[in-house]
Amino acid sequence: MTKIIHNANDWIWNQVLSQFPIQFATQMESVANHAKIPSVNPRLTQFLGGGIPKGAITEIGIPVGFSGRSIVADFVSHVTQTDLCLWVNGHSDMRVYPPAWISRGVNPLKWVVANSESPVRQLKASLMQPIFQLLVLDMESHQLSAEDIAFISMQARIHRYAVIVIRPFLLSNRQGNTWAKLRVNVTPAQNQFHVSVIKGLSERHVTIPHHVDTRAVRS
Amino acid sequence: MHWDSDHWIIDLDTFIPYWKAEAEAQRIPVVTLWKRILSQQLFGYRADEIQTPLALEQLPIYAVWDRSPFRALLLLSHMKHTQATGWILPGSPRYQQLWTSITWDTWESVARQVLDHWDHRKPKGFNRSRVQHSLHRLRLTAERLALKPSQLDRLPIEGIQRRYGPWIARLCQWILDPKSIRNTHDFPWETWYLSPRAQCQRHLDNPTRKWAECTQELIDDLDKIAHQTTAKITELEWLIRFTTEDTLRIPIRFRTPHALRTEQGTHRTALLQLMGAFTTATKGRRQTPYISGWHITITGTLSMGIDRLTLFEWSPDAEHQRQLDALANQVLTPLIRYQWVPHWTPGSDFNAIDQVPHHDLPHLSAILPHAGVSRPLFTVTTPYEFRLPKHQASLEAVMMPWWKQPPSTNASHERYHRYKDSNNRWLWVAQHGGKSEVRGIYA
Repeated sequence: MTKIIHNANDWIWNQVLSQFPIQFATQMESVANHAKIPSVNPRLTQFLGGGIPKGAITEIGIPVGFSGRSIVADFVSHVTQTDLCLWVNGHSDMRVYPPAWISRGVNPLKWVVANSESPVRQLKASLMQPIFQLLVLDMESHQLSAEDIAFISMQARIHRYAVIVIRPFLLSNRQGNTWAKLRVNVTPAQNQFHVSVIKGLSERHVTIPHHVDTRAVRS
Repeated sequence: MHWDSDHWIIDLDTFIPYWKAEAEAQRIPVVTLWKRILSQQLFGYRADEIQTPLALEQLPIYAVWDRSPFRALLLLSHMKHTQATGWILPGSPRYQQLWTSITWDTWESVARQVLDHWDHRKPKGFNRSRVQHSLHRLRLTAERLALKPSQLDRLPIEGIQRRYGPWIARLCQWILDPKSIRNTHDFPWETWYLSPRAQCQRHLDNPTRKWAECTQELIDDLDKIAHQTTAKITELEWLIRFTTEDTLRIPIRFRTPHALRTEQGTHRTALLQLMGAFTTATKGRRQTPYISGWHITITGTLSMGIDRLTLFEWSPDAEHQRQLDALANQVLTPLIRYQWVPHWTPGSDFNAIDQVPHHDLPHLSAILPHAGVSRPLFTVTTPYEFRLPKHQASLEAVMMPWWKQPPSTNASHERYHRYKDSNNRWLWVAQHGGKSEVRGIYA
């Protein structure tokens, strides 16, 4: 079943996945023994050379306001089929809306959310144990210091989990986070996302279509 | 609750179904069952001494049943004052006769006991001397109007509140409307524990202000407490004493029951909770005084085992649950997992996983999950008003639950729009009754 899906084109994949996201869970293996964490979107997985690396920080620049975080939600969706994922929300003016995540394939039993503006201080124990295979830190620009990033990077390396740090601005290729192994920007395009690699892989970019169905629905 | 040396208040409401089932099994009325249990357990009578109903009724004890604990205390005090022993049930002629003959001395004496308990707990806005003075003024006024305590219902409660303050009004409300005690949680209930609580006291030889210098002593004290109880703790109270003779009482609640014995010698989880609670309690103080000692008491425990998620101990789900339970007590912010609830209205379609879901439409559980596809991943913490241009096409129209509204209300829809604002951000805007507000953001 998994092989058939990987060979399908993107349009069929998106239509099928949006209706039956959880049915493929039984085919998935735990990511605990893998070097990378793939996305449920095979095009994105292929673009990133197999997924986001474990044991390191991946920094992604996603400005707020065009559904760019659904790209990261696709990684969460894959991990939560078998393993635990922690999403740290550092935005005081936003809260997750779980039904939208569940409809995109995130398994709520394995998806843990914490609202924290200082995760290193408030969630230190979760960083220092290999409980979560994926940690996503969706922080505002000033909340993570260089020391915080260094600490998180070290813990990720020791405990072999993947960390995604989401920045609410586009990343620059001139100066940036030296601790991040992979740096990526996500920008909006016409009903699509434009994903470009800044650091960690050869310079490349790809266009990923939206998952959101914007047709009017009466319920 | 042990009200004072002579009085006990027992809340029987909590386990009414149990009492009913037990009484049915013994084929006696519930009140008779209670009388037997109280006679034996509280008053120390033997079973053979209370075998017959007559023997039970003739016991030289004072006992009152009432929906309001304050009213029960008034009746009890009056019974003792007039030496009228027996079991008093609401609605009985004896109850009415006792109630109408309560004096102002009894009323004021019991009210002062309530003030003593409030004074001990120090609720916000409570000033003992002011409330006591208002209490005396109310009595003077009522006596001038030739009103007995049982006739206080002739005075409007709003007037009592205006003239004598909210605390006196509360006392009167407890008599007029016993249900108000449960609603406001103002009655100074204090749990009485069957067995001595695990606790430990410490006097520091060298008073200190530094957390690092307290750590080893706290670990030693937690080790002592771990030897006193094998139960998992859910709550503890840390009473800190300072060199200035002040005290600071810090209640600490564990998100999941925690076994102290599993971390003997380190107590990493408990220390994290103590440090976090201490930091929060002393936030804003310019300088914390020197700590001269403390008293740690376990105030909540769980003796029974936690239900397993699966039949097999070694399953990944059970292991994940165990890891999350342990982690919940080691972090300073809650770890939340959500569950989807079959409901079509945004906001009512999910709750935290430790809450029991209320299933309105389980038969639609195959369809409703997909309603979230067009909705944003994030909602705004505080919805705000937004001016939506006219004739804006909506993403979806959600019918409000008309059967929960007054009969004259017409069924209405809430329309949701995806709208780009001036900052090029896609917002999720809800429109209802001519008003629009931003509820979410397509982040």
